[in-house]
Amino acid sequence: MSNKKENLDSVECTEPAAVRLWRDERGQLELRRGPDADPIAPVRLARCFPWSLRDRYISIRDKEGQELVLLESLDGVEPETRALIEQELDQQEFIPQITAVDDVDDDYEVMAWKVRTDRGPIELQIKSNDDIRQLDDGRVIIKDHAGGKFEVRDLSRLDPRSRRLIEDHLG
Amino acid sequence: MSVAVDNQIEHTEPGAVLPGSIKVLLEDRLGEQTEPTAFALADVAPSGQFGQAWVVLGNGHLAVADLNRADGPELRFTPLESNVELEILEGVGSSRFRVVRDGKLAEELRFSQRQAKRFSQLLRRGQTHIRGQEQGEQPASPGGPEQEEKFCDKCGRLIPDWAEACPRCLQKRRILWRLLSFAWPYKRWLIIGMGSALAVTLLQLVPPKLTQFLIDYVLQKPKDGTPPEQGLLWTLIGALSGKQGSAHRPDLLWPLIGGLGCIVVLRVGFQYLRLNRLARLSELMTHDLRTAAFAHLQKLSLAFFNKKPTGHLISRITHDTDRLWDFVAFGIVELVMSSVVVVGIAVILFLEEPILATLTMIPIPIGVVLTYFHTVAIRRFFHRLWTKWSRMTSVLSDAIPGVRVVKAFRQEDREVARFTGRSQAFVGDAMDLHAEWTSYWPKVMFLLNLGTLIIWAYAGRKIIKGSDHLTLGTFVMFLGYVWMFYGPIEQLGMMNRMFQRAATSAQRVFEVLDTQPTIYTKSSAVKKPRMAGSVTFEDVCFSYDGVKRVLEDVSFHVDAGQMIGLAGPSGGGKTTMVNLICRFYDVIEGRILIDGTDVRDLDLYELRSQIGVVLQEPYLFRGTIAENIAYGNEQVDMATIITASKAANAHDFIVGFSDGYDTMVGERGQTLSGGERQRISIARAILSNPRILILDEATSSVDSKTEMKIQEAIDRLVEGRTTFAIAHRLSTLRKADRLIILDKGKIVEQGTHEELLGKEDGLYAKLHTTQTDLQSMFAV
Repeated sequence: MSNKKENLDSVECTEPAAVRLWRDERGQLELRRGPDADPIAPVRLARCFPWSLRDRYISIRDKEGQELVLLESLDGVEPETRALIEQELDQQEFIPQITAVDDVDDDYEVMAWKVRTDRGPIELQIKSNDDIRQLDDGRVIIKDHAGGKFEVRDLSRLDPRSRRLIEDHLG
Repeated sequence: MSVAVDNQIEHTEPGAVLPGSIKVLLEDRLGEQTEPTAFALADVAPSGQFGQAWVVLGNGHLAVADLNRADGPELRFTPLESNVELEILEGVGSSRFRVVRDGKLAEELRFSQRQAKRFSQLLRRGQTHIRGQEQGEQPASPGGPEQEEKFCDKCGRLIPDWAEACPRCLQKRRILWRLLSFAWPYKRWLIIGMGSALAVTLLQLVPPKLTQFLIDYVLQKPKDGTPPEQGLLWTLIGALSGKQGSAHRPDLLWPLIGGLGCIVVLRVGFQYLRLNRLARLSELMTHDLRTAAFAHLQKLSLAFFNKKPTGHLISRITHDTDRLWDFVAFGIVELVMSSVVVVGIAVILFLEEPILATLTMIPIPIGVVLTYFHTVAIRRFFHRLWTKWSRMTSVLSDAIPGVRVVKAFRQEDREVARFTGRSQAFVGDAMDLHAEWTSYWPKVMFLLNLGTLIIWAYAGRKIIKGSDHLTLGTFVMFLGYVWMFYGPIEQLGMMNRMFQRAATSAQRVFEVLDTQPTIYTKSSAVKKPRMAGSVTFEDVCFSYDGVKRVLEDVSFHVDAGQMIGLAGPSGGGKTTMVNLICRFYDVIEGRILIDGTDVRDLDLYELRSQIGVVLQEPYLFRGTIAENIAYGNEQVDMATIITASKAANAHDFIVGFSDGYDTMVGERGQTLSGGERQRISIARAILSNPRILILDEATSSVDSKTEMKIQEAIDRLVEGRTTFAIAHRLSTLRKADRLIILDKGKIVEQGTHEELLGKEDGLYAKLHTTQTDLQSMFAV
């Protein structure tokens, strides 16, 4: 009873060194939790804190969404597995970083934003100012009409015009 | 089913239209005419940058036109045979489309969120084709239209949900003409109003001119008998009054004063007429608009209401029509009046003294431009302020209702810091706003005063030097007109914005009027006055948004009078099934039959009149209890209401209220407990005597005595009717003739309560054990 607080400090995480992940013929991810464990496929990866703590607490789950492995950090994971985890997490996420805003056409309800991102230039159609939000830490997340997300990590690093255009439309 | 192919892809949304060049590429390789049945653009290259790889379904093949490669476009083909599997792996912001052939990964393409719907459709069509190959038969036709986002043909912009046409390319003129058509029934008043406005404006222009005449010909004595040069107008007047040639007309003083007096009186009269008629006309016109909009709204299907938040719709009928009132009663007229004033004054001044006139008019375009930029800046500031204000007040709406949590976790200081920070942010922006508007007025005043200065300088000098035609009277007249420019400058500067806002409001109202109901009765509809109530689902598939399948291949048959319990994990599709029976939505694939007839072939109102609904959260309108029970059947007499009420075990508690059946319920009325509302809802259903009953059981717990009463009421309600119960109560589940267990949109089990419990690994059996463990306190 008296040790309850200590239990909270460390959530049960799998021993990273024992975890093995590889891709099978189908392109699916297969997992082996330990040297004597049976392989499980397909598995999916997820970041527990995609915005606040990206590289810690990576969850490996089965196709029903139940967690199989929780990696507190990627340090200590076998190099090939680690590379695969990083690659897969990168592949499954697509949140372009906006580097500049070239033009905003907001005369009508649906806005057209011409922006440049770290993945290339693109024109966004944004339904309303509600889709342009600023989080408490200053980041700005823009959601386009289809729900795709675009991020400005640090407003102060943008050129003044881009910055002003974004600030004018914060919802 | 052919899809749009277009050679101009400049303006359209990427992926919306298959470029002709790609189609040609495919045809070249395949050597035959390709009719694509589906296509999608994989817009993320393997490098993670935006890219282009087209995936096209056609002629039994899945083709990939990969434009990402440095060495040129590459075409890859996969024949869609039974050894091929297609899947989509969803991610965050992008997903992957995969083709697996003979158990090996053949293609993996990444696409962003924008392309999700098209890929979903491609997947479905591809899978249907593969299945068709397996079964060796033609796949069934896809059924209803896919829910596509619409993009404007002309400018490529997304068309918002509520609109049918692109607001950007929309011709404002057409909208405003249409608005005029609503005013046309009141055209007499329109003409009187406009005419009066014009009269007011013209009369307004006269006094300075009279002043000129007064000073030059009446008050002033001519020097040395040299008559000042007379303008054209005054020559005429001189001629008319028969005193040609004389320059000094002191006798005209009183007639002039009389004239001015008349003008003042006339102006007041016309002003009244203008304001009165136009305000009243506007009121009637917006009434017509509001009521037409609401009436049409009632005809529209549930899908329309689900797409738009209630607030939006309400504001369309109130706020937008209100704005239009403003526009018609004041906006247009003031604009016209301003233009007439500016043009009128310009004409008069130019006829008198062209040079001075030009100098005097210089401040005007400057003023208009200034006002325009001012309105743009103000709009910007107001928006920023509104955002900051919302953020600030959101702290209050968190901290004040949540005060207990704040205190329990000792967060007072943090909340204060938050609030102060946000208030400061607000003040920062507010200062910018104040800087803008406090400097605007002085600037405009300066411009007008500048006008006066110019006149003093130019005219003053000339008069002193002794000009022939620049008289003292003319001087005073110019001064008088300068000050009339003030209002018009403001109006003209705001013109663009005002038209835009009015056109947008008008469009929003017209959109409601123009939307066609998607669920409607076909003209060939069969009337079935008295249904037996058997229900059949045949291979029904449904999705709300076109991407996520909510029901898949659902098939079953229910005889008239049977009671079916729907159960299963939440999100399984139970509520959707029930929505489809009521025909709130139409299926995407398959069909639903009632008494052997497809629901789409039945008369909609008749269908709905024979289906009764008892919801989980009973909706009581603002009205008396009696009105609520009789809703939908207003003609019934009180005895019937009481009978229904007794059957629902509601009579006793209703009579227990001091106002009995006349007790007001709803928002400001008596607050009823959950059990009471349920029973009134059941009474309503009993009274409407439907053939098919939908029962969405409440999960809220009540005490066991009330529970028994509700159970009894439901038993009476259900008797003899085909019932679909989304069941939570054990008693309901036990009593059902059959249970249908839905999980993830599919029927997984069917059978009676006992049969399903008997199944070893049954889903129902598993759910049931958990539930009874929790409910072991209630002996139901």
